[in-house]
Amino acid sequence: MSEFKYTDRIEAYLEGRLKGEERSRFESELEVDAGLRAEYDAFVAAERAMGLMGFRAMLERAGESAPTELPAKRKWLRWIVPAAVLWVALLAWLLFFQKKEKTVPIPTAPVSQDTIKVEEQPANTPPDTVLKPNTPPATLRNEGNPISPRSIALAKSMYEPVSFAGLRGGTSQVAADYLMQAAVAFDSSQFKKAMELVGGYKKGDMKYWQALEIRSHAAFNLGQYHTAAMGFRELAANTGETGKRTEGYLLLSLLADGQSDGVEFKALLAKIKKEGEWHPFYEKTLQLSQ
Amino acid sequence: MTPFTDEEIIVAIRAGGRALENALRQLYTDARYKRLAEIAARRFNGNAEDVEDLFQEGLWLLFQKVEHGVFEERSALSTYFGSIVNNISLNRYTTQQRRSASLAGLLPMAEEAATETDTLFWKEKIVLLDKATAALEEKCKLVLEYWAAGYSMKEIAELVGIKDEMAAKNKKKNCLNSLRKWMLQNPEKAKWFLE
Repeated sequence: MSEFKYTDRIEAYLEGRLKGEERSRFESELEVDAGLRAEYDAFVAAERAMGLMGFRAMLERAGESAPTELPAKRKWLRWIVPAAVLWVALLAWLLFFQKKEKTVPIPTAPVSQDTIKVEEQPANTPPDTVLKPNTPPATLRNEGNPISPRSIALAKSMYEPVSFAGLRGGTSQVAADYLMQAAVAFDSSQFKKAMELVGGYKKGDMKYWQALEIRSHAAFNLGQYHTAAMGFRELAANTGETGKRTEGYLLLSLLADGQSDGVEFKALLAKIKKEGEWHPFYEKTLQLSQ
Repeated sequence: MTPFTDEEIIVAIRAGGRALENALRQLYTDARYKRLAEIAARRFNGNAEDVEDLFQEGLWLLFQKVEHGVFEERSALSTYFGSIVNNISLNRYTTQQRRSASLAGLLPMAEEAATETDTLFWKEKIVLLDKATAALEEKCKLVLEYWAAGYSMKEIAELVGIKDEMAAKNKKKNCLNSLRKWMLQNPEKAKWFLE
């Protein structure tokens, strides 16, 4: 049995098939019949939502096919940076390397047996400061906070998996960029490798925020909750409206890291609850408050 | 593909389907439109995320107004877009101010006043849309998306991998009824789609 009692009439009205007196009668009934009004509103709301769905999907497709090429009149710009780099490299060689030969080790991506092979040096090789995945620096380790297995279990059960498919690019581009390789590794659940690959990005790098996001999620999945919390904290403070979703991940990281009694956790919990259901993490916050 | 003129974009929007999608793709990659959104956002201290939200919402409203004949073609489309994003940015700013004042306890948050004058930010609309469509299966979403964009049932059947037009039509009917059911069961959330 259908939930709707007035489908045919509402559809006829919305499609303009009701005319004259029939139309007027329908409009009068809308004013007084609460049941009809409720169904009518539901139909209109569904139409509008559908419109927004369609538009959003088209925006996503438009974004995927957006050209990365510079407009013709600005193409000369693409030569400025490589030219400047060449001049700086030449000067450095003249000043320093002519006197004392020094071999700068070229950073290579760490390779394990079942992971992606790097076939050529990427154009934007990050500095050689790759984090060793199993030994975070002392400042990043959680020291002294009691960690409850229940808290960890709760945080992990609430964690919504993410995908970085949007960063992966086509298969022919995989070798060209550590960030893309990290995205592929993350989506294949190779979280250690993903962290290694993005470990060299620094603030000021164009892809720093994307790298930080991968790193934070990878850390969470590896159980490095303190590291994850630091990353999500930085993301939440710097990424505008999308910071709302990151606030949720920060909350879970703090919970799993044994900081649920701390000021930051409580303040964040209160903030999200105050924002109400417009915050994407609101319902989970209610569960955490119980 | 040669760029559309303003007139061609208007015709494409009203035609729907692939023409509409091509028009959107052109505007989405047009630096002028992005720049207009950036100027409007920065006016009220918006950041990069705000610019992107404003750009998307501006395009959404532009397409709505062109489709429903609100845009009377008395100015260039980009000029009209500029006024749209300026208005959205101003509304967003005043809403933010009002919400901050309410949260700080400076103003009583009267339910009626909030619903009459409050607006949802673009990201909030998207969050709400995700809630409304969470229970729909992937094929349902695709069918409704393409239908909303003006694709024919025949095209939808091909794009989504459905047997034929009749099957696509039935699928659309069932999926739309699921969405309507959610709206009926959640009137407090559904009302935001009626504004």
